Amino acid sequence: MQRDVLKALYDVHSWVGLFLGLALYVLLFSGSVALFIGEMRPWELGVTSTPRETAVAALESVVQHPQGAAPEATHFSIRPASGYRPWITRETGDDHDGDPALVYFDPLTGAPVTIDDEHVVHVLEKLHTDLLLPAPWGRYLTGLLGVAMLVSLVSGVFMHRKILREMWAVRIWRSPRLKWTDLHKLVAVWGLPYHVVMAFTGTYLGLVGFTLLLNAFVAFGGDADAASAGISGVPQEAVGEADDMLPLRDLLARAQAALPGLEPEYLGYRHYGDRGATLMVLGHLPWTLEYLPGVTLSAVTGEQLQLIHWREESWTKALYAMMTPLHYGSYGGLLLKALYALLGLGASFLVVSGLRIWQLRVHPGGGDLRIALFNGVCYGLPYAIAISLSAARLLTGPAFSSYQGRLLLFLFAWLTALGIAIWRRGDAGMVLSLCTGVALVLLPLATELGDRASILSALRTAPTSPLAIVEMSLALIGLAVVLIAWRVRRSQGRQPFAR
Amino acid sequence: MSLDYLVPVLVGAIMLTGPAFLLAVAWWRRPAVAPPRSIKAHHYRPGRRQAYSLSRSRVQACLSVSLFAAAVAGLGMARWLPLSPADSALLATLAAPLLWAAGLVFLLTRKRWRRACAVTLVLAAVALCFELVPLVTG
Repeated sequence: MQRDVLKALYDVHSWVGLFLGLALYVLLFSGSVALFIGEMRPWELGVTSTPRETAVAALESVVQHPQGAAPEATHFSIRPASGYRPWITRETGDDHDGDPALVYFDPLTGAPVTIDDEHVVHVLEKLHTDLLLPAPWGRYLTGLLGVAMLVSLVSGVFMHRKILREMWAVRIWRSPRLKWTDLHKLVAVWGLPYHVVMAFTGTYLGLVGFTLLLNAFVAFGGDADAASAGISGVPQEAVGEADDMLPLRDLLARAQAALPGLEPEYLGYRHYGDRGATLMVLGHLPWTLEYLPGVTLSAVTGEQLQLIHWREESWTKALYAMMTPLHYGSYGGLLLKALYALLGLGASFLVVSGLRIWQLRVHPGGGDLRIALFNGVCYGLPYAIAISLSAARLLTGPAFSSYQGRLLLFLFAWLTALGIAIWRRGDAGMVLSLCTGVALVLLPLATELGDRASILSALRTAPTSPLAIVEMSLALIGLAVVLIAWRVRRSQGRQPFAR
Repeated sequence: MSLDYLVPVLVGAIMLTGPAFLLAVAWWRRPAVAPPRSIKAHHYRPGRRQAYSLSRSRVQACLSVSLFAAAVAGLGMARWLPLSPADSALLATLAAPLLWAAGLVFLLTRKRWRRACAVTLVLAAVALCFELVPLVTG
């Protein structure tokens, strides 16, 4: 490869890292947290009950329950209880237009129950999926950042001609610049398959809302109706005559006969009460890479109208159906998610180490405002997340009972971190890491002091409940952060060459 | 348990244990006394100049041209691939971001990037005409 091309590749790699590095870091780090959104929802709500199955009789009563907000609704969906959401959710809304009305039910009796909203978890989720921006612009921006990550990966791979040799080079006892460079290459090369998959699937998920519409429109020769039917199937129309609905038990049995092993997660009724009523049963097949396979049945006769099993239809559809589970690691268990989270933290480290290399080349003194910004964003994000989690327990007043209140608190904590980074330029990273760790370690105490749940009683009565597991895991992570920060501080005190 | 699950777990485990092993070896072989810094970081290379050597106009031009070319390539795939329309649309949706990233790197690293951008732009515009004219005229 020519020297000019190599130099240009290096420039492109540096350019992407310097100008978009911090945004990429936010996306990658928050992605590692967002992997556990499903587990953190019941934690925020203080759920101490252990996972239990949904009784079909309870589902039947939920189907027949008169919806308070919209009694005439004929389109509604039901989500059975799951391990981390031990209640049935019924959602009314005409194909998700407008704000859906949510009602919750006990999974055993089918009686209505009251469940609060989980706003802190929603903020953390939106941070990754939309960068806290309004939809759909935030989603598109994350897609564009995915392209930037792809560009960085492509340029990084091509400019490192000794990639196999660099896989084994770790010189952490030489100069700081060499140490950071070696660590950057090591994590990048070993984690390359993961980084490529995340960048590719993330880009796809960010931009699919726009690009799929455009491509389908062109592929179907400009016929928008045919495009919609070709991608998502033809919806059944209402007949206009009332008819009896088949029991849900029978319909579920038919769905599971059509797709053996299907674990229902979504039951969507259309035209309920009409002769043309349909039930769409979506769920997941354990250990398979396919996003929400399912069956659409006639709710009157039980006849199978559509089988949604893209894995078996064509290789392009199989590839398409893989994207979401591949990105979120939702096709495996907690082990896979933990693996994803560690590799995701490795990807975040790439951005941090890349910026650190640049900092050591250009501003070795550490007094620049841009370095304070770098520290404030990189160390401030975990700090803001830890403070938000603690505040979920301690601050439960009316000001924090909305998404906006929690969002403002999160942003305020992050701004505080930026202020600390400007104030303590020499050791801002250390101070913020220690604060993050301490906040997480003290989380059980905050839970005990707050009025939402009691961690002590949860540990006594239900040690495998979501509350106990998530709380103990967060406290352990906090302890590890404190110990690492403390050790780095001590080692820095002994080694004057290290920074 | 299907291979869908096992393969990513194994690959992921290798991706994690590789660097962890190397770091452990490096830690094990650490010198008894830390060596002094041999090269002063600020004397090493003009990193600032390297980082900013891509002009803003070059980045903007390559970014927009590669985006346009990727979009046109995606639409072309959606229209002309010998697959069913739904499959073509899905494949185009999957391929377009990859094409954009590869195209951006390609254009940014050309020595004569203005000429490369111009040629790409003309070719993409011609292809777009071929794609859209039949749609408009029916």
